[in-house]
Amino acid sequence: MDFSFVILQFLTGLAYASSLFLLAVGLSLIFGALGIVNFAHGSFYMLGAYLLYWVVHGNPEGLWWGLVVVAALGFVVGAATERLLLRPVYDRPEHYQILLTYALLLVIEDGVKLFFGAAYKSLGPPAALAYPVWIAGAPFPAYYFVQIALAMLVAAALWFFLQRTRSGALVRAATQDREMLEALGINVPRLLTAVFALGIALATLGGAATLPMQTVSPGIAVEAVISAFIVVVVGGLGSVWGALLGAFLIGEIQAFGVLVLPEFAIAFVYLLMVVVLLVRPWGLLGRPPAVRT
Amino acid sequence: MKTHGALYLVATLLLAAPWLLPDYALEVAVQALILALFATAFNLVFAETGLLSFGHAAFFGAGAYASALLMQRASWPYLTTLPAAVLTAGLLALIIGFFSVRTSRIYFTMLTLAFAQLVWAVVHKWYAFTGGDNGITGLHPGALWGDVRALYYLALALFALGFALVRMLHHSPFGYALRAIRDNPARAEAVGLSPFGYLLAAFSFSGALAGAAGFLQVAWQRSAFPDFLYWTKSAEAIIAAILGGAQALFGPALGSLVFVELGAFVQARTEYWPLVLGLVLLALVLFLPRGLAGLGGRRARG
Amino acid sequence: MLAVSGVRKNFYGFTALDGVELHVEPGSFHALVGPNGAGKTTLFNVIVGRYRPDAGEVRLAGKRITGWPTHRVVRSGLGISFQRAQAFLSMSVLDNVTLAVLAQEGLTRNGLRPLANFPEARSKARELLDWVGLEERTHEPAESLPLGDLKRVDIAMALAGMPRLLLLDEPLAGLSRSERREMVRFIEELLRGLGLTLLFTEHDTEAVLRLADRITVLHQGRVLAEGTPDEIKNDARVIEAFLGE
Repeated sequence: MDFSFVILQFLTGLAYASSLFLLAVGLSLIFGALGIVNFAHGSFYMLGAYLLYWVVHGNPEGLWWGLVVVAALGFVVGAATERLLLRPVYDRPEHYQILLTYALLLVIEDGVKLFFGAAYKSLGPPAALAYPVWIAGAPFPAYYFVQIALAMLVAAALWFFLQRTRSGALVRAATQDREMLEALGINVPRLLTAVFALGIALATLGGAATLPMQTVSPGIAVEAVISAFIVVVVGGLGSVWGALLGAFLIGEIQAFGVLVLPEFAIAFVYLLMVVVLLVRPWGLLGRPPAVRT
Repeated sequence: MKTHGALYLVATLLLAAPWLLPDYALEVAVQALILALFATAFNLVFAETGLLSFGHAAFFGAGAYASALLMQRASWPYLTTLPAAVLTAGLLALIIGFFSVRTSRIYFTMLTLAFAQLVWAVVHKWYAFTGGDNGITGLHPGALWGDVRALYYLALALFALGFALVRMLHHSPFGYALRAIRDNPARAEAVGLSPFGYLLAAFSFSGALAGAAGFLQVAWQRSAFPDFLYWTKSAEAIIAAILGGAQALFGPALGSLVFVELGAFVQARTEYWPLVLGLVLLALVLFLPRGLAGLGGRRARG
Repeated sequence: MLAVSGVRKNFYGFTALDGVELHVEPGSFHALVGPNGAGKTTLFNVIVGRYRPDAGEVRLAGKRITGWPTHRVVRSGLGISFQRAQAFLSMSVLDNVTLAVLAQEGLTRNGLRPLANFPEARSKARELLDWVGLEERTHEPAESLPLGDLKRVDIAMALAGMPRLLLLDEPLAGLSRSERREMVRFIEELLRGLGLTLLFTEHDTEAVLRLADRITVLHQGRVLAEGTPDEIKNDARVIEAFLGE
């Protein structure tokens, strides 16, 4: 295995990690603030890809503004979902929330079929990016760099938002002590709506951003949500940086696992999740739950 | 004694069904019985211990593959693979449970999901042994069990046995111990119960029963596929249990019947069955929190 | 009956217990008092096996039980009743106590016979409920009981194994004035009558002085004083520590 090949494989893993991060970070934010495991998260990701195809009418050159529009639509859809469906079940046992988001998964999957048809959709990258870049004598899709850059941009923006703005501080507080926020007179329901909407906007953005490299079908939702779970469980439920680390590890394990045992690359990923859950059930960067008495 | 009358009526109907229903409807009824056994098995863990397993598809699939592989490779007669299917599933549950039942709530759900997906990934890719994503097809469960009526009675017998066992556990000191651990683990320890052993035993037994459901599925479909182990299969048991009412012993069976019959009805008319199911579930969660059994009031516990 | 010696416990660099000695004589009522944070709860948790001490040992009737898991400690003769009265809320009062009796006898692994068909355990549970004055409420669901009655269920469960030593963590907490008086009388009559050894914590000084034969005062993780109620009442260090708070 020569060095240039390793670099290429690493970059491929990084591109995969980038779309995993966009997919999973919203799931983690939502779990952190709302305490809800969103089984429909992969469906919003899938929906994002379809929305992009729809808003640009299948024209690859519309990608840039298309991504912005899709993220905005995702925000609106997320806000509406939270207000109408999730809010009534916050105080109910966890399994109702799981069942509700699972129902949403089914509805979105078939809803997309109904509106967009069951056929696979694909959209090439914009003409300027449709050529491979040559790295150490091997071709590498230029669009992968867009995905990597987008993930980095989102990670940096999230860092700035969470660490440097007042609203971000409130979101962080919501993941730790909701009652305290209420006592401070913060409009917590509105904050939770915003967090959920943000999480969904990121998922739709992530889904849309993969469309130029990947054909999509409604069926990708159930695989996507499992990938997202693995990422956040490995990284730590509720942790944004955990999602970044988890996505990176899983992207690279996939990229290099394929070289070792091509058949079982995906099994390596599940194995990593199992090991993390056994050793650090709260994830690599998650916070351990309060000491049990 | 009104309940006894109702029980006899249901039993009579179940026994007479093969003579009342056309073959197609009977096929659907077999599917409902298989899901009923699967969901009842799942619910033993969910209702009695409060732990939501998202990994029961692994046990369903383990039972199915044990049976299918023994038929295909060792030419065992179908019925003799039942003990192997139950044991394989129970053993897998023992292993997964050993690592999972110590964890609580959402971590338990995630851990069981991760283990089950790990098993699925192996089955899905191990072409040399499991046939990979092609599955194992063209199985012949024998002349008798290939007949839908005979299969119906077999499924009914296994479901009835599984239900009776779960009911027996529910009323036994073991069942009370499980609910004590669910209600208040600290107090349970302080009366002298050690949670781990009870939870592991319940989880393994539940897995073994799920394996029996997988065994039936093999005869019904004359095949085994990796889909049997995919996480959406686990979701079916969860949906059936909550749809029917997890707090009633017969809730999961009732939910399975509604789930399968409604599915067959809708699928005959439109391809958008998941959409309909999704809407039904949304309505259920938002408007009918105790499941269908909750409609009958609080006296729903068997 | 119970001997705690040299027990030390640290949490994250904070010393919760610092070489605690405690000896409970058979048949005595022994109170463990001290301000919040003195280490009472930590010591309780060490005794019942929830925490493993960093140093020192715990002996019950001469047997070393240090580090044993709770369920094992309980089955070797220690009855535990918690501060916040706890019962299994999905069950009836009688089922709660029956289960505790069966657990003591190692019969809870039985998955074949209905709980209702264990007549000896049933009648034992009824007897226990009789003792705590709940014979009228045996078939009510535990979740419908008021706190005072829940505490009695809790104590009945703690007595299920006929323990050598009973631990009561703040038996009066959360009760009204009249309920308190009744509970003190109940503890005196019932437990003295049974000849039980009792170790308890309580914030209500009046009740402590009335019930206890001996008192151990904990302060900042150490034993500040030990003696009869009269000795403790007049101990200069105790007075200083409590008035200094």
